[in-house]
Amino acid sequence: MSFTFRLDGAGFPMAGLASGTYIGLFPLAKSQLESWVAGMENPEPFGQTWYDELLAVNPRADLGRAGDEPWRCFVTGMRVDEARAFARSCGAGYRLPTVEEWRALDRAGERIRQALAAWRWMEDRPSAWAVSLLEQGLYPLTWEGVLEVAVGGDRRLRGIGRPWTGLHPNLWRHDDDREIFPGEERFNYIGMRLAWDPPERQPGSFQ
Amino acid sequence: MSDSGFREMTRPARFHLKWRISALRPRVWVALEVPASEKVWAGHIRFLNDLLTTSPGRIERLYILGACGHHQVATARCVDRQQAGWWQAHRDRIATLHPILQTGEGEEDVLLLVIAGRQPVDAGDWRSGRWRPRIALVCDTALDNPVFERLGRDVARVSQWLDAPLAGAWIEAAHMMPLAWKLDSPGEAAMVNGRLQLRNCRDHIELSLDALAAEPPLLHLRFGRTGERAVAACSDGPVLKPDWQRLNDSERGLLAALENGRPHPCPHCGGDHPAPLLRCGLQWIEPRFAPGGCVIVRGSDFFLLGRSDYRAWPLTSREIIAADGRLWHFQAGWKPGRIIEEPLERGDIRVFHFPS
Repeated sequence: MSFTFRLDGAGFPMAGLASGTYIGLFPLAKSQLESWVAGMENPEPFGQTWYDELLAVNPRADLGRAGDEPWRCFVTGMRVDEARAFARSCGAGYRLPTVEEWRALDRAGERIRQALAAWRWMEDRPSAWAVSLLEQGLYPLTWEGVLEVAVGGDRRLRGIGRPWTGLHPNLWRHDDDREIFPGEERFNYIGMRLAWDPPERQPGSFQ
Repeated sequence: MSDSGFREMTRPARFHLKWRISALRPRVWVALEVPASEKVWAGHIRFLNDLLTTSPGRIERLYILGACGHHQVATARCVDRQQAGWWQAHRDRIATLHPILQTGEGEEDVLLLVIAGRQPVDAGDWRSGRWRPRIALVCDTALDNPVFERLGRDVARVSQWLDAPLAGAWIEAAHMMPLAWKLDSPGEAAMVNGRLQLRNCRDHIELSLDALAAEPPLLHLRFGRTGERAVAACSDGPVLKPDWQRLNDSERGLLAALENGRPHPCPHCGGDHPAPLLRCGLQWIEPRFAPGGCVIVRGSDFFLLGRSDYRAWPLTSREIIAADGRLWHFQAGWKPGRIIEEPLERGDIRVFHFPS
């Protein structure tokens, strides 16, 4: 099976799944969020005050300087409702992935690595941050990364993925989904990933 | 390393470049933070207006930190007219430099003044690279480890930073050897320590350069007494791939004889030529090029620069740069001269300049 790739509006790569949906190669990176917000006419509620709260639980790494704390490259600390709202505010077709889509990405891990080698992604002008993450091999981060907010079979939000133990000590199975509660607290190990449906798969499409 | 590998990795390209810089004062962009606090915002606007009054006409573009697109602000009145709209649209926007600096890619003679109450969140992404010395932060807050120079809200100091005089201008690149240059503006150009140094330039620079180099040569402008800021100006021009060719045995023998000052049998006329009588030799090597050009020899490769009036630095018509980085003179045979500081490439390379 061959993979197709595209860059999202922030210049970060997404892998095409068999269903036609694309899913981010990384959990949402901080630079990715910043680029998305920069392009939003009215970024509320994703302002600096909100972002400072996120950075307080997981400070931001500088480009190419994450060292042995790779999680500092990625957004964590979002509440589940914020994760859903952020995905929607990225524009038409963007949403949180489903648990099944996340698992499809996880199963495709090695094949994606091989397909990426053949993808001439530099021609599409990816973000410097995306290039840096790809070069460090920090994708797809399904085996170890952050606990990602995803949509379960019952349409309720679930958590999936195994957080880096440096972020949150755990012995979780990486592909188990678990209950995730909406609340006020910001957890430094909860992040998200973007999914995108091409126009023909978006609700309201006549195709 | 194989010979072909060596050739791929060390091959210099030839650049024809032109620079035309009309004003030797860099352009100024301002990036304004739109914070959550109205009081802090009012302070930013007050400072911006003071700056516009003190340095009229200096600010070319105004950006909002973390937003795409820019505004024109000629006077304090422009700011007063628009500031309520900016506040409304961008209040508490995440303060990033990325959208601005991405727009400014290739804009080499721009200074960016960031008016903010904090360091932009992505400041650390730009701590190295060309932007680093060209960004200053106007900020009251003491920062633990500011990535950019912090000027504070002293309008006089900021104006001084923006209007620092040109303190130096030069062109440089790795392994650069200028072949010819022409300065069409007031000033002088001379090779010093491997750089083409420009002196006494006034309000503009107009310069063309033909050079061999391992990377595109850049014009660097340094402003201010401290030399903290270096602005590199890009230019366009064709890059020619040198047409490296292998020397055959007879050619190699010929050049070796020349280098050692031995007479050589001329393949053109058949007679013995004493070095450096090369006309026949050169015609035999490559008949397309008449004598008077340069031949750069590297190991068993050679590259003909062709007929020209090149001032091949630092060669005269009777010099070569040899592999040891030494300048050799022809005076009844090749004599070693001074060691030159920046040969085209240390290693297996020789540059011949043939008498015309």
